[in-house]
Amino acid sequence: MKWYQEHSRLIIILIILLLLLSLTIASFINQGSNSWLGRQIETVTAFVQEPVSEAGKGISTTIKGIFQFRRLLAENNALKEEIAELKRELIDQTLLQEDLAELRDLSSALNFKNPQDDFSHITGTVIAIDASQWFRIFTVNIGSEDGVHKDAVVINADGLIGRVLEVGEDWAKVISIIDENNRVSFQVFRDLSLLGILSGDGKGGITGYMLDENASVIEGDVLITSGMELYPRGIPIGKVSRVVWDKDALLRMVEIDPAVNFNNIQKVTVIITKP
Amino acid sequence: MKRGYILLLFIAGFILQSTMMLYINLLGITPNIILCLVVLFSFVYEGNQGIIYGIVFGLIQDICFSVLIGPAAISYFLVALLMIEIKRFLHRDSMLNIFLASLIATATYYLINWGIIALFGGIYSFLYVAKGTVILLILNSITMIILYQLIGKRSIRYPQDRYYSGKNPYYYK
Repeated sequence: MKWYQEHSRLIIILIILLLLLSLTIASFINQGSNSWLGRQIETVTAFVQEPVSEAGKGISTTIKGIFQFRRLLAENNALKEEIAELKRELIDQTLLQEDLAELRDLSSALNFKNPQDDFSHITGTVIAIDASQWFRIFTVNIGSEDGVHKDAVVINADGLIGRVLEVGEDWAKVISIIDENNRVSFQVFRDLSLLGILSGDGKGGITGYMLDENASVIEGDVLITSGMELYPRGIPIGKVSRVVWDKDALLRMVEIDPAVNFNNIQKVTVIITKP
Repeated sequence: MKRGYILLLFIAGFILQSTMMLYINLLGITPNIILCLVVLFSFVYEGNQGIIYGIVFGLIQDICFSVLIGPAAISYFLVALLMIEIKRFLHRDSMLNIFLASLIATATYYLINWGIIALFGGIYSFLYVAKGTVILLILNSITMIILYQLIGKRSIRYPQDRYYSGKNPYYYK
């Protein structure tokens, strides 16, 4: 009894450590499914983070606007030219609409099912990210109320970001592909018969291997998702930056430069699987 | 400092870290304000506030930004304990020691955090984490010095402090 009294501080420290370690083990076993309390905490933090994030964005935009006035002016002119070009393209596309309508009629007559019909999209804004960690896990302001579900695929204008790890009513936690060792199957855009598997490399990038050891993949090849599992087909992943022959594993390894800049993600699109 | 103020500081730090820092960063890395506050309230101030709020906000950080719940809380807890221990050997009213404490705390925090995550199947290599930690050492030290200038100097002074005059034992009560 005396020993316990003399070492009460040490005992308290050990109890706290054991409790926290137990919590870590429990969360490891039930990955991605937070408790009721955890979800409530995330709901409250998301509620507070959204307006603060918007305020931060406003301040940042104003400051950047002041210092980058000339660059923004040039960008504005370039965008105006691009709009004019796109308008011309739109006219051409409208003319092609009639052909498309005919093709749709034909596919419907043949009872053809387009895989794209199974998905819808919703766009959200990143409201919180902890960049003091090496993880790129972030919170977006759309949730189950908007149709977002667990494992929904997250992309942006540049390409594949990751998947929804956890979802609340008006928020969702997203984990990026660079943070996971989950396998993503890909195709080489130049030659769609070239297939491979990739995952996070543990250094903030992506690495993978080709299924065929003689695959003629080269540096600069664009990789897209193959649509074989979670990720729908055709989403850009990145460019091959290096091809290496691994003589131990007898595999053609590829190092990939991700299409998405994971250090600066502000808007995302979630691909929702229709029920 | 009153407990309520400390809680408010931690809440403000957490929200700032996760939101405003989206737009203010160095190579995509932002300072860890919660870690700086844990160091401040463990190394500069007396009491267990650094430990308690470190665990609480570590858990919130894990819930919001991690796959595992616990690594950040354990890391903040151990860092707070370490800061309380090194306080016995370092004068807490020297700016150089504040800087040194910040370096030790940052390196310890990321080493423990990486160790726990690696133990549970984390994919990040030690070299990659170490590279990011170098930037964090700089950012956290700057943040720590700013925080010390703003609020750290308001701690109660004790005779063992280097610049204790004996006439006015308190900067601020």
